[in-house]
Amino acid sequence: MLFPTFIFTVFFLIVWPLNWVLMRHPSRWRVLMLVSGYVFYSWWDWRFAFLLAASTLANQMFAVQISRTQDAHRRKLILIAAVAANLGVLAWFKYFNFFVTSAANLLGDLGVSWLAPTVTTVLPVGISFFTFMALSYVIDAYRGTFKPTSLMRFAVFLSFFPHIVAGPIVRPAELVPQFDEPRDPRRIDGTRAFFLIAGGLFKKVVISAYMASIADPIFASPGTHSALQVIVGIFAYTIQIYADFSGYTDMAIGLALLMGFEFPQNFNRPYSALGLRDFWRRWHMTLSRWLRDYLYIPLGGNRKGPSRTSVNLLMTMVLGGLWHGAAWTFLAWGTLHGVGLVTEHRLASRRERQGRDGWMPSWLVKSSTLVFVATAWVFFRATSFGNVFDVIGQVFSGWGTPGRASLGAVAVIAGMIAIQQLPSDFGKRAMAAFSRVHWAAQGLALGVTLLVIGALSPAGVAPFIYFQF
Amino acid sequence: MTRRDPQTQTDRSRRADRTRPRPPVERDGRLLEPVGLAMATALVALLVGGLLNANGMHKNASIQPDSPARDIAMSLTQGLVDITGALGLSEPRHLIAGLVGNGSKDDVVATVGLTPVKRHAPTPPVKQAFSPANKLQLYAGGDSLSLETAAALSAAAPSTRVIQMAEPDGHLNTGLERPDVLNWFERAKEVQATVKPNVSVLIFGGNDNADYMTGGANGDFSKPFGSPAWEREYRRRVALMMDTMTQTRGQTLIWVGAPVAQDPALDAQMKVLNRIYRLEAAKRAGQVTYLDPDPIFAPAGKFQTSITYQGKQVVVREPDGQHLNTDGGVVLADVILKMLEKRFSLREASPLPPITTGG
Repeated sequence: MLFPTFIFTVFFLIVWPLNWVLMRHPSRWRVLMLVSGYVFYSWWDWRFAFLLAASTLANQMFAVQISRTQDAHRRKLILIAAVAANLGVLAWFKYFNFFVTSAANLLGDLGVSWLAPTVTTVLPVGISFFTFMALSYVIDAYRGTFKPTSLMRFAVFLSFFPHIVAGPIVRPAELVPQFDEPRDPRRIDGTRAFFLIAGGLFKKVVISAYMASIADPIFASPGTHSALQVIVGIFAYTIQIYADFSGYTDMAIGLALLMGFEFPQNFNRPYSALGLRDFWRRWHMTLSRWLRDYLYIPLGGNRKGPSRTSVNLLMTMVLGGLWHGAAWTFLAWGTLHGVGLVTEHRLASRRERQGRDGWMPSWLVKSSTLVFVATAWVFFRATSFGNVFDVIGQVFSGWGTPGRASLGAVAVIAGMIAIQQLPSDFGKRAMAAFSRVHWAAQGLALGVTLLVIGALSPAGVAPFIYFQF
Repeated sequence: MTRRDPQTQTDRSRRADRTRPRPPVERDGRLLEPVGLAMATALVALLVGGLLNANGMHKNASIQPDSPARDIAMSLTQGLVDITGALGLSEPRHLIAGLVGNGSKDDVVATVGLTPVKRHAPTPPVKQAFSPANKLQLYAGGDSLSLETAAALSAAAPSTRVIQMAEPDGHLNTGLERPDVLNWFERAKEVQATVKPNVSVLIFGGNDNADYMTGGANGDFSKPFGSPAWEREYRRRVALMMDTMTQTRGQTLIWVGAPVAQDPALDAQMKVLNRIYRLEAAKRAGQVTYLDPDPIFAPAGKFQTSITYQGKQVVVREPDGQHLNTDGGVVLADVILKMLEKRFSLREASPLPPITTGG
């Protein structure tokens, strides 16, 4: 079930009022949420529901066992088993073919012939997201930062339909306490919710779809396009992936708000970042902090000297790249960001030691960050390293190839980047003004927005890019 | 049994409400609102948006697979279309879509608007010659089964220096059964008018395993898949596509069959379709070549996920057990380019540079 579809609209129009009607009856409310979460998730493939249920049961068992055990060694063993089980399931569905064929080909290069067994397993939608959420539940129980809750509450947390397939990656401590405290129906943040939903819908079905129509042909055959067209194509993908993913999570956050629940922010104008560290504080923020808290810091973070800090950063980003998919190009994308972060970190440390400020003006820092990020997206989008080199090569060698860039695409790219440079309170002021308009006029304005979105969008709904992760 | 006095109950709940702390009225300058008002706002928005987008909703309903749900959606949205049409409310959508050059987005052309083409004699067995100055025009399209192969051909074409590839023309959820979803017969006419390909590559079958077809001679058509009546109509469509794509002397069509599917039931259906493609291609030998993908992707005679290609083990199938993945598309494109190399004289491109998979 995709958010921008008729069937989801019907589903939500049933669940939304029931959510509020049952809010004062927690046990009945939890049943409603559990059923709605599983219906929503099973809409793709009912068999996936069993995987979700198994993940829920197993992780609840791990978390409860950890919290009941006093012996530190035993607690650690249970944690290792939990991490291995979760990552094992992820590896089976996501990485098995990648690892075995890579191993077979490596052996082949060494003269050992081995035909690896490969499998066709459909990747359960959202598996990376709910596995990470389940892992944070168990790890938080191990650290003592979150006491395991009841099986029912945990099941509702994991299957809560606004976040289950593509995040935000919510922590148990952020959401479970909200479930336990009935939300107040007298005051909800409807304006922000409607802005997020309408804005997310516009980004997904208009901007992302239009940018895909520019980027796809260029990545398919870069050699037939001029250098300028390829540059526009790279930036079109830069906007596409932002509009697609942030559009989805905006809708998720807005839907949760209408039900009375707050999710953490997932994007904060990432293309206005002043450097890569700033970019990762603004892009897929809930994944960044997950990787920081559950991978980078346990690896030692920045507590073990500059060299170890660099290694930790690099490892975190490489694994973050691999999280996105089983391909060497994702690994290269993560590595590129890792190397960039290490370099930036080292330069900043040196400047601090010398008591100097950065010499580059902020507009230049922002522009170079954007160019770096857009170039790295080529690795993320390309189908192979050959495709990466074709795309980047054409930027340098394609100046003689005829072909004019689409002015419409350039305008949309420029507009989307420019919007992110606006002060952060710009949107807040717009929402404050909208909230003071009569509810019927608000509905009318939102209806007209739906008209514009419907008229500008292509037929059908393209799959969300992040669903495959 | 005692009955509670409703008045007392209301008073109690009022008292309970009074004892609850008053929630804040504002957040970040925004007025917070009761959930009832938010619901009313949402309903107004959906009503207004639904009315103004009625034509689009009707089209979306009409292109769904044949089912009772489609019938219900069609009836409901037809009612909306009638109302909005009478009130002139469909105009804003038409105008806005027109601003971005998409004014006909809600039109449905469900007719098989191709007329039988008089077939010409096959091209004499002389190798047509192409060169960088006189490039071979290549077109590749079809349903979702064609996406990866068309993309791989498009990526490989520039390096041959003698092949000019049109934009890959694969479209998800389309086929020859449902011209209302995407009218491939109209598309064939457009391609002949604009691209004028020397060689076309078509791949269909992924969505053509249903009983229901639109655009039959007497309107919509529903006969059991594979039955003689169904086959007659489907063969007519395949024949029209083949003849249209080879209507000019010297034009060649490579019709690729659907690759072996993992699911036996689906594979049996694909075999029915492949038989039709093969038979119709055989009638047009010299102009249409049927490319059987099974020797490439199922060398052992059954479905397999990976194959050995250029000495490496390569996963070539999507996890759905039906589609080729990116590397599968590359392998198939390589086979097609080798066919072209054999059939035509491709000066300055012999041998064609190898293309590589992503693995």
